[in-house]
Formats: sequence, C-alpha cells, structure tokens
Amino acid sequence: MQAQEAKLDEIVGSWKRDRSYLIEMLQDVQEHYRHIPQQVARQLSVELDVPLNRIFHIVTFYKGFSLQPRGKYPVSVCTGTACHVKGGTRILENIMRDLELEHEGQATRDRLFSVESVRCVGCCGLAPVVTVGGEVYGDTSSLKVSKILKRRRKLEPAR
Amino acid sequence: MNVTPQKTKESKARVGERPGGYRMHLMLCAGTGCVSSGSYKIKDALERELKKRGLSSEVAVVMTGCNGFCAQGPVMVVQPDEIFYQRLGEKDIPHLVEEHLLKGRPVERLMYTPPAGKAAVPKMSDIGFFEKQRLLALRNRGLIDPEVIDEYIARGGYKALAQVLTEMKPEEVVKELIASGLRGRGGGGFPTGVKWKTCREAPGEPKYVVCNADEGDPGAYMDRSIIEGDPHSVLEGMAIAAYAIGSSRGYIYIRHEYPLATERLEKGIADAREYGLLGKNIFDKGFDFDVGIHRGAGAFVCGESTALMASMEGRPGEPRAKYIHTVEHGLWDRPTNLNNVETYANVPPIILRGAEWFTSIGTGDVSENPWGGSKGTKVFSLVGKVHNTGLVEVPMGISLKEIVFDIGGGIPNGKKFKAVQTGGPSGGVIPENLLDLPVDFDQLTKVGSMMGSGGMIVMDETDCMVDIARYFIDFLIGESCGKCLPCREGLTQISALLNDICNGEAKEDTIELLEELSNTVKECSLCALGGSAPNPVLSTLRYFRDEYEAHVKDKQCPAGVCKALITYSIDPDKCTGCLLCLRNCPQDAISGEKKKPHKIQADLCIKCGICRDICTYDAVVVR
Amino acid sequence: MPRLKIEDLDKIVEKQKKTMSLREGAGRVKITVHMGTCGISAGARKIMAAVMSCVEKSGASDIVITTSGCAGFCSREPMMTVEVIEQAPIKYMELDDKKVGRIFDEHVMKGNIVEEYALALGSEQAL
Repeated sequence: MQAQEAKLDEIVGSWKRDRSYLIEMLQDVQEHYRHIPQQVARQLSVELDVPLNRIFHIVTFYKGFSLQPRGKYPVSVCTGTACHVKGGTRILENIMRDLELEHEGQATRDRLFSVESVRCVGCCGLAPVVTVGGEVYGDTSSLKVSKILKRRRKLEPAR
Repeated sequence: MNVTPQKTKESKARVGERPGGYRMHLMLCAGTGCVSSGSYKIKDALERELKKRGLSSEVAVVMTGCNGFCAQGPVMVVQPDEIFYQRLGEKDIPHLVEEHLLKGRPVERLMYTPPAGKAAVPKMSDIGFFEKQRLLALRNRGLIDPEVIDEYIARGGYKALAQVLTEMKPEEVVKELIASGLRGRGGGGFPTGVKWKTCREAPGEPKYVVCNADEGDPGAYMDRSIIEGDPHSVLEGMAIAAYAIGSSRGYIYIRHEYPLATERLEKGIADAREYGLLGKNIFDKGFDFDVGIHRGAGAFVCGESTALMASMEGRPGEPRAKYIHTVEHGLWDRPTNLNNVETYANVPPIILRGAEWFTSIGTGDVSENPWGGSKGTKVFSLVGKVHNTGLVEVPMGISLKEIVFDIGGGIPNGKKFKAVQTGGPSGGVIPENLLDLPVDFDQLTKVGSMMGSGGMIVMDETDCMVDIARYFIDFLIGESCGKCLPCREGLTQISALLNDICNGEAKEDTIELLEELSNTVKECSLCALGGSAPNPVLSTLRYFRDEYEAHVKDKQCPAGVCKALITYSIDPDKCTGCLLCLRNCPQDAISGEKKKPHKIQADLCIKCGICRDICTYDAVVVR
Repeated sequence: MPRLKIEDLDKIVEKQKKTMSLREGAGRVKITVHMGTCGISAGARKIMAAVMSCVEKSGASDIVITTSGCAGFCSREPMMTVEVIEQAPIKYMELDDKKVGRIFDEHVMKGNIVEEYALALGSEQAL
C-alpha cells in the first residue's frame, strides 16, 4: 500500500503535479502496473483534485489504458489497412483461438500474454505485423506468431 | 528485433568528428521497419568484421532514418559508390566486407533485382522505386544521422530560421508561405500561409504553435518516418511558424505507439536547446521559442484539431463544434496554429529557395488563389498488394499508375490490380479505369476519395470491397467519441447493414438503405470524423456496386473473402499430398494420405485460412 | 556546446563538408586504390593508409577515395587511379608511400600528372 502511494507520488512529481499532464501520468501508471488499478485512480483523483469520473472517462476513452491487467508480454496484432488486406484480422482470430481467449485485452491464465488489435504500428511496409512485448515482427502469419509465442513461453522460468 | 528506445541510447561514433574522416560511409537504415528486420544486428556484425579486417579507421557505419524501401529491409547504402544493398543477414556481412569494402567489388547477390528483370541494379538512384521520387520533406533521408544536429546543419539546416530572423518581417514570412501555395499535408489541404495569417491576426496572448504527430490513419507512417529520420526539419519549421504568427511556445502531440520517434525528438530538442536554436533570444535576434512534447494515449479522433487540443489539456479527446476556430480559440482558448509534421518539414526549403521555386513543382495555379492548385510534393506510404512497399515522395500531379507500377513495381504473385485506397478511413477507393488520374488534392476529391495524410493501400482481385468498407466503418465505430448521434448510432447501423451483406442475409433494398443512411451520417455529424466516415461505403458503392449486388442477389463473394459466402477446397491436380496443411489444421478438418490429394471437410472447416497460407503448391482454392 | 551565432552555421557546414560530399557523391577528385589479392599482397593496404593520411593532412574535403578489384596488371602492383573531374583517369604503378605523397601534391592538388610513375593515360579502352 505504501509502496503504491510512493510510486504514484513519484509519477505525479515527475510531471510537476501539473494537471494538464494527467494523461501522461496515467500512461506511466499503466506502464508500471500494466493496468490502471482502481485504488491508484482514486489516489490520483485526490492528489490532483480532479473528479474521479474524469479519470475514468479518460481511462475508458483512450485505447492505451486498461482496467484489467494486461499480460507480461502484450501481443498487439496490427489491423491497420495494409495489415488487414494482408490477413492481419485472420491472424488475430487465430491467435485468440490458439490462446483460448474470449475477448481482446484478456490475459492468458498464466498472465504471460494478452492479445489485442491495434490500428497501425506504422510498419505498413512489412505487413502483416505483430508486436510481442514491444518487439516488432514483420511479414508474419498465424503459424509464425504461434511459434514466437511458444518460444517466448519456453524462455520463462517455471512457476 | 527490439524497437525500444534504449537501443539508440548507446554511444556511437560521431562520424564528422574524426579529423581525417573516413573513406567510406555505410548508411544503414534505422527506421522502425528495418530495426524490426534486424538492422542493429547487422550494425554489430559490420563493426565486428570491420575491426577484424582493420578497416575501422577507414569505414564508418552510420545509422540513418527510414530509407523508405521498407519491404527490402534491412537496407544499406554504401557511399560514395551509392551501392544499395537489401535484405541483409548477419551471415552476409563477412563476405560483403571483404569483397566490397576491402577489395572494391560490389556484391551482386545482395543488390536489388526488379520483379520483371533479371539483372541486379547496383546504384540506388537507378532503382525504379527511387528513380521517380523527388525529395523535399524527406530531403535528408538516408544522408544524415538524425541524432547528430551538426549533420542537419551541414545540409543547410537552421539557415532558413537564420534568414527569417535577420532578413524578413513576420508578415513577409506569411506572404511567402501564401505565395508558395503550400497546403496542409495532414489531410485537410488548407493553405498553410492563410492559416498562419489568420492566427497572426487573431487577438489574444500567448499564441501557440502545435505540431500534429498523432498519425492515426491506419496504413500510413509518413510522419513517423520524417521525425525518426530528420527531427530538426520539423523543429525548424515550427520555429519559423512561431516567428511568423508571433508565438514563443510550441508543442508536439505524438502517438504513444511511436517510441523511437519520441526519443529522437527529445534528443533533437535537447541538442537544439544547447545550441541556442530553441530557447531565449535565438541568434541574438530577440526571438524566443521552445517546444514541449505531449504523448497521445491512443485515440484516432485526436487527429481532429479540437479533440487534439482537448487531449493536450488533459481531457478526453472529444471534438467540439467547428464554428469556433482553433486559430482563434485553440489550446487553453488561445490562438493556436496547428499543422502536421510533413507540413512543417516543407517550410525551411520554401524559405531558402523561395515560393517561386516551390510553385514550379506540382499542379494548378496558386498566384491568385491559394486553393488554385497543389504545389510541391507529397509523401505517400505505398503499401498493401504491391511489390515495392515503402515510403515514397513524389511531385504533385504524378499519375497513380506511375506510383503503383513504376515505383511500386506492380502487383505481386501475378494477381490483377483492383483498386487503390487513399485518404485513410475518411477516403475512398479508386478503381483501375482511373489509374491515369494525376494525384493532387482536388483530383482525388473529385473522384470521391481524398489526399488525407498519405496512405496509399493497393488492393488486388482477392480483396473484397464490401469487406473493406466494413473494415473502415468498424474502425470508425471504435474511434467515434460518441458525442453526436449521427456518428455514434449511424455508423453502428451502417455496420449492421454491411454485416448483413457480408453474411448473405441482406434483402433487396439493403443497398439503397445503406446509401441513404450513409448520406445522412455525412450531412449531420458534428466533426470531420463523422462527416467523412461514410466515404469508404459511398466510394466502394460508386465503383464496385456489382460486387455488392453479387453478395446480395447471388449470395457470393467474388473476391473470396466473406466467410459466410465462401468454401475452402483442395485442387486435387495441384495437391502433392505433402501433409503440411493436414498437420497444421487447427480443426483437423483435412484428411488424406501421404502423396495422395487431401480433402477438406466443409462442416469442420472454420475458414481460418492457415492451410492456404502454408500451401506451397497453391492448391487450396477459395470460392 | 556553446550557443550558436548565425556565422557558426557556416562553420559547421565547412567542418562537415567532407562527410557530406562523400555521401552526396560529389567530389573533385576520385582516387581508386586497386585491391585485388595481388594488390593487397603487394602492399595496397599501406597505399590506402598513405592516401588517407595525405587527404587528412591537406584538409581537402572534395576528394573521394574508393577501392576496386584487380587492375589486371599484377606485376606492377600496387596501383592506384587518379581521376580529376572532367579529365581522363591516370593509372599509377609500383607505388610506395613516397610516390603517393608526390602524386598527391602534384596531380591531386595541382593538377600536374606525374608522368614518370604513370602506367598509361586513360582506362583500358584508351590503351
């Protein structure tokens, strides 16, 4: 609990407690916790004197935030136009089925992966593109991605 | 493979600082595309090998911004010979270093070979992809290290800023911009000079200069590439704009999906501050200007000016009614000049070489009316079903055919060209019979599409136009802010109608209903997002109505895309019985024996397409 | 880094000129050192080092140095070709550091061909 407060204090301080950087602060929270914990949202509301409903409005408005924890390695399947015409949408469906996920943003049971579609990562020349934990893989296919994920999972220490 | 910013933080040789210089520069692309294809591994391999061969003091490796030819990455240009290498792998490097860098014999097998020809093309400028391009906004592409401010200055950088501060009054800068006919490269095509003039004359202090780097159009990445490859060109353009409108504060609003670009901007701003090119009293001329960065949080609608500014103020990015103009009441209700990345990058050369030079490129006549033509160049991201995908900068007025076939090298896999989509989700498709169309703002609008920010997605006969329309509408439903009803509800209903068509459940009058509803949404929405949202539907209906009718009347998808209307089967004449698809089918829907033609069991098949992806004999047929 | 004055922009341009002219492929003189297997065994690497140090000492920014394969005249290696813009290329043979120095001062900087070291005028077709 204290650690949480200290972390938030650090984030708010790094933006000089300026309310116009609320979105940036939330981005830092998202990066740290892989989601926006309710508790943190409440604290932020008190710290900055911003209504809680404004914070939730922002968190639910922008795609960059989630209320559920994302996986350790978020898998983003690009469904920008170039990737769509080269089969990106099919890759998304196939990976979700592969990992037994019902909806986008959901994490696998071991919390290793979460899958969602993104609109264009700006690597259209390499379509279709998938990013796994921030690493960009171009010219992929359903099978290639499923191999990448399997390899990733093998490298994780057992728990 | 990693594109996280840390990669670029490592110290590197500052090429210009070695007194004797090097005899050779290896210009290795470090744009996001090539980085994901492994260019940092190539860099390490090159440096290792150069050291081994004792060439480290003769040959320098320089990491540049995006070269544009992303499909062939990682790419590298060897200077001064201008030899272009592509698709480099670590194992190619020892041979390359020995043969070319030591013995001076360029390695043919690593060069580009055009799809039609057999002979490799050694020089970059002789490759069709580069030959027809004209670089203004991308003038430093591949020639400088984007993180070294001296290299930008060496190519004439910050000279335009010096010139306006010493020789021109702000009004004269505005006049020059109006005379140049430069129009906004972000989509609207509004004359930049006119915008600057209005903002300059608007009452209220302080004024703001904002750069829109929230490149949200799917299928477009021009702005990312400009920032990654030449961040100072944007900063200089913004400083000139600030001087012209009387502002001392600038902001860049950039997508959070672009970590590398943000990193390069931060470095650029820090370097410019150290040189006194940003900050107080620039060049001792009494002009102050500084720039800050705002990261977006993932909302397409934030490309809209009022939504962008709301987001910068820390609020949800919801647009407001347009009768209040942002040039008068923008950020924090102050006069704000908003241009996009490419527009700012065009400003320094216009100042240095003059409006007259700029108007010599492009179409129409802007001497009387700034809307009278399209001047200069435009950067397009040429992607989709085309051989040479990548980033191209071409003069306005070039034909679509030249872009798709001469620069793009045509359609791969022997497929037939069907359409090219421009303008992102607000744009439309352009069919084959309009391929001779000269590309400029007004011509594209006339045929029902638009310039937009510059995405150009090529589609072939296997792309279903109804599916494309549905794709864009679904994209826009997700991105609609929900404030006004026509956009929020109208798009949902349009999507339902399109789903009916794709699923073969449409009635005779569905198409008419779709058309009527689209026009209503277009008329009644609050902002440009909703107002242009039905464009993908209207333009596909305009040129590919027969395809819609095939879905409705014959319950067929001619392109073989819409799942409810197609079946997968295996052509027994082509199938060699290799068992590959059988092993990889997630549903075990494929049966057969080794060396005998396989069969797909239709009731088990979920049409995931994996079998077609992996079949090396093209034996999986979709009907 | 100090704050820049307007004059400083030109100084940076001057300092970076060599770097940029190399990348833009613009040079007044092109020096090619022949680096075939025989050239290297005859000492072409040393010739390259000598050429580079000559260029460095002169401070010239308009000279492009490249390598090429075997010149085909193995017995006269190491060799190099000097090509002043809009003039016929000259091949020099049996080089050492001293000869390189003289060729550089005379031919490259002043435009006077050093005939006693020259193999021939022009490239192969001209022979």
